[in-house]
Amino acid sequence: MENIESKCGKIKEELETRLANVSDLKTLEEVRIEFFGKSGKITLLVGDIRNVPNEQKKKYGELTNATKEYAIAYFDDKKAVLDHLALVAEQQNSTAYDMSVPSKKKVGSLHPVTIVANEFSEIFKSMGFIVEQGNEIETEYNNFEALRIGKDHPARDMQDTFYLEDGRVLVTHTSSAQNRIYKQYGAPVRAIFPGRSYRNEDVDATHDVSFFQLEGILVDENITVANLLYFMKSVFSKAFGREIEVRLRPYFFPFTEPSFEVDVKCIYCGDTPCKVCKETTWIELAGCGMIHPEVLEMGGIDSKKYRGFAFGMGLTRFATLKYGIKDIRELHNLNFLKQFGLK
Amino acid sequence: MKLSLNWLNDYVDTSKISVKTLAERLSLSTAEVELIEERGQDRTNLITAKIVTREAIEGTKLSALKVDAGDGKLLDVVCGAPNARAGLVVCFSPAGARLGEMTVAKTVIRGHESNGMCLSADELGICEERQETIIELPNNTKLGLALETVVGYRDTILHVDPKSITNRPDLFCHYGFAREIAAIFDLKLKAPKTLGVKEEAALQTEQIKVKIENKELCRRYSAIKFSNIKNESAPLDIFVRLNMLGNKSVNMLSDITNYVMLDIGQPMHAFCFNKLKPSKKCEISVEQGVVGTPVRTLDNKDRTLPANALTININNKVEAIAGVIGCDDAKTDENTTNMILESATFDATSIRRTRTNLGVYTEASKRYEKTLDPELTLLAIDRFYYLLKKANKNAVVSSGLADNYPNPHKAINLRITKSFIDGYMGKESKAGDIEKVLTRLGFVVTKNKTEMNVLVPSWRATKDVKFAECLVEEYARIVGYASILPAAPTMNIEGNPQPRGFVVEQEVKKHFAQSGFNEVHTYIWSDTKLNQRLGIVDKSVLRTMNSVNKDNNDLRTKLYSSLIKVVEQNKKTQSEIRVFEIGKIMGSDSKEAKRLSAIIATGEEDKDALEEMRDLLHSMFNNNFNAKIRIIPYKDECNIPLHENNFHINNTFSVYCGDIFIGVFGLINPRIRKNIDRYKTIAMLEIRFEELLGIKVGTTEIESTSRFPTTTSDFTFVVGEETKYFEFEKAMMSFRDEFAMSKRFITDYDVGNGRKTFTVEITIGSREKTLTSAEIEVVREKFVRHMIEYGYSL
Repeated sequence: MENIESKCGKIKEELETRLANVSDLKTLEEVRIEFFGKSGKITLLVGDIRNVPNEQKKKYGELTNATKEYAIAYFDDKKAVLDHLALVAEQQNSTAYDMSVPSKKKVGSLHPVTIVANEFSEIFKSMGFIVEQGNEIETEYNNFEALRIGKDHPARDMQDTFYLEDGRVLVTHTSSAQNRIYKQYGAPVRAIFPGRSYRNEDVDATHDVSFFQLEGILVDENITVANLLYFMKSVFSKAFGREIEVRLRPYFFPFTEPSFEVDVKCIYCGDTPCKVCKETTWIELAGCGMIHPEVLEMGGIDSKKYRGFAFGMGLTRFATLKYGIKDIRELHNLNFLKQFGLK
Repeated sequence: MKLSLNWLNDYVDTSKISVKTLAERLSLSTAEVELIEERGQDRTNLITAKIVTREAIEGTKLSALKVDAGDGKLLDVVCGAPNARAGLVVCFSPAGARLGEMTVAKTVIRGHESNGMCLSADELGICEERQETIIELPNNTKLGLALETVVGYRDTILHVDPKSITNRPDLFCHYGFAREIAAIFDLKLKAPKTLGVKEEAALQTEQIKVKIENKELCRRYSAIKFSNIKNESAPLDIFVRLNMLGNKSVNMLSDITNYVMLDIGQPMHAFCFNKLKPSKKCEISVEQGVVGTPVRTLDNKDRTLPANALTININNKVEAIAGVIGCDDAKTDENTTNMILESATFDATSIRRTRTNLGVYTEASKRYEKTLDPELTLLAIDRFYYLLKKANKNAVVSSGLADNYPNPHKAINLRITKSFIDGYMGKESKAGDIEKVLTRLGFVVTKNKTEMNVLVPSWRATKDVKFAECLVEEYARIVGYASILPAAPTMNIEGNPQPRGFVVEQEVKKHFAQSGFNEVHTYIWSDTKLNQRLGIVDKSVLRTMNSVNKDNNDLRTKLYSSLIKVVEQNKKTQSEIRVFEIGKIMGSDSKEAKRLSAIIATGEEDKDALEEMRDLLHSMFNNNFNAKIRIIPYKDECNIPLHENNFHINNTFSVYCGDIFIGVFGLINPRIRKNIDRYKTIAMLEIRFEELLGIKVGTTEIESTSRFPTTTSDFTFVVGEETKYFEFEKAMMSFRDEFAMSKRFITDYDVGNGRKTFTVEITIGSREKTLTSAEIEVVREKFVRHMIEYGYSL
């Protein structure tokens, strides 16, 4: 039996020595055949049990099987190392592509006004507003009378408004959608309606005959000026991504009473006052007010029961502010527009 | 609008308030102060002095003066003004004084020493225009006084944004703003100084007759005659204030009328009585003039009366266009000794129309357009008389006071409660504060147990304050909006369901931008000139009547026509263009419609551009609507025969979703492409956006998969190159077999010689069992036979 024990030990030692020098999978396969093949050394060793006397068979079996298991495990470890090295070598030998070459996929762009409109619509949606859309062509009634802009109001001068042959007008402000929305939804209602307006005037760096605005209304019971202030503050804080100081200044719109302009504390001023706010530290960003009871009534809403506020901001103006656009005629220049992305 | 702080101080003492605070509080409570302009701070060490002797310097227009600056010494001064004379008290800048950029220095002119300057109005910074003459101060002025105590050349001018007060006729004058300042800071408001004409007028026998034709157009017309007038230049203080605010000085009478207007807001007109014909009689008629009547206005221009213009006729002759401008022949001049003063209230709309039609925008018309308080006319006459008398001691009232007031002011009373005001603001007001603030603004508040009755003052009653809600504003703005704190409303969380229009627009825009297209925003009208030049057909059904640019009158009926313009305008700088827009057009039914349009202009092959558009549409419908579209050759779906179209006869396609026609795409008509003359290929699409909103999203039928194995089989059919896939597909889809589970397109291939192939795939299987290869083969054979029947073979 000492004999078999030393024989097992010898084979183990022999395998270890052989494997120590193997560095490729081909030689490894030769070693496998040499030890584990049909006439391999370990195969033969285990099979030799036939020639062992019966009383020694148990012991012989145990010893040789243990040797075989050890040998397989030892071999597999070696194989794992070599497999790994082979994979590394395969990768190292393959082509290294240059992905620093820019993408050839064409990238388009959204109009900056669209980007700004999208941002605001997300903000208002998160506050429970629906996003509606108004017309670009409206009756005089919806554009003017339903907003208490009487026949004699200067805003109805021919030089400011595009009149159409059939008596309708190109809307001069997005407020023109108010009446339709009151009639469609009744009260309570919370809606914004971004859209396009037209003014019949000469185009220059700060005026275009057409510009985009965002109008909004909130009508419910017991709505107050304090609520209006709350919404303006929340919206601009969300738009600028930080707490923004907001103030109301008196203004005049025929369709709100009282009417305000909304200033926000200039976000561009550092320690010293800046040019954007003309060194006043405030930037005017919206017009707003408590909806005039007559306007609610014309929209079929009971002004004794409901109150509300309306607000309007210039999306084009907001875009020029956000992107520092000095001349709004740039918004018609394709090379300029191509710089924008999808957000 | 400009306000002089010196002037405001006549009525309210602002000396304890810094200018900055004053401007800020006015901005936050009344109207935005856009600019604070300091005047005269850069002119220092100026004093009053007297010319004691004058000698002409020979051969020049200059004089050598001896000037007494109050200290008894006589200074030599050289002066070029024609009115320099002995005995004249002048504004003097001794050597060392500062005049803006300049420091006055001792010099020698023509051999004469000069130790300072006698100042003209422009040198003092009162007016812009160069003045020949030096300022003449009253003879009794003390000498050596600091000049700013005598002449108001140092002032602070507040520039107020007039847009926010178009509803406030009372604010287009100093007194109105003084009232606001008094209310805001709780200061005493002083009344304007007047000299009543009533008693004197009552004693006169001469009467002015005033006839008003239409009481809607002229609510009130007051007039009076003054005599014994010496109409020289205006008194210095009036001259200074008018000029400091940018108003030209004309003559005393004209200047005083302007002064009263800037002072208390009532425009007035001075007619020269001496010039009236027939003389010694004054019959005034306010009536609508005859259109086309020639008139020469006092700016010396010949004009014709526009339609419906209100005129002031005196003795049957047009002497003024009411509220806008006076006529030349009765204007006051240095010979005027008798004058008729008009103080009237005209209709705002009438004035606005007339001044628009005339193209004359005067300070008077600006105020009338705001709807003036008719109660103001007599106060203005009294104020005028006070100022006239100050300038002309001997001037007298020489007629009765004519006051035709057919359409009197009606009192407006509003009822409010504290809880109404507080509830509207969202802020608790201090007890008693509301009535205090309203009273400061001139409202008359009477209280009973439950509510307040508020009488609106006449100057706020013309069109400004008519509702109880207006009083919320009056109270809140004066106590300051800053006292209202933001508060979230308590309201129902549930809102209306989100409409789809904007969301779909966002998604579609994103899809196009992601696919390499740039979004543009074009105008709703066509460029008719460009359309003609490029051969774009866009027959307008509706036009604007008054566009600034005549080529922009037609409202477009196709959105792509605007995108073609974008291509044309950018062709010089762009080798490739991909743009899109969602915009409005005018539909043939005269309703506006929304369109989605895109255009590709490239140097690629036609087929590449068409395939790009096709793929774009498929992926758009797939990604955003989970819907499939069918594309087939265009068949006049837009009621436009192709040969009249802007598209290509052979390569225009209709897009359907289900049975609904969604839009078209295709190559541009070569006529237009050749006129643009830049791109090998131009393709465009136009989608009816409203139809997209009708698509039911996610309605694809979902079936469970078979538990048994299925096989797929490919078939390649050879067809003529003119064969359209949608026809082939119809044949394929009509094949029905219980084991043919689905059919789909794999690829097409151009094999040349006028032939191409369509490869399709059929999935064969059963939900009940595993099919044998024999069963599968039967299906395959049946399909091939089916296709042969339709004329397609492998």
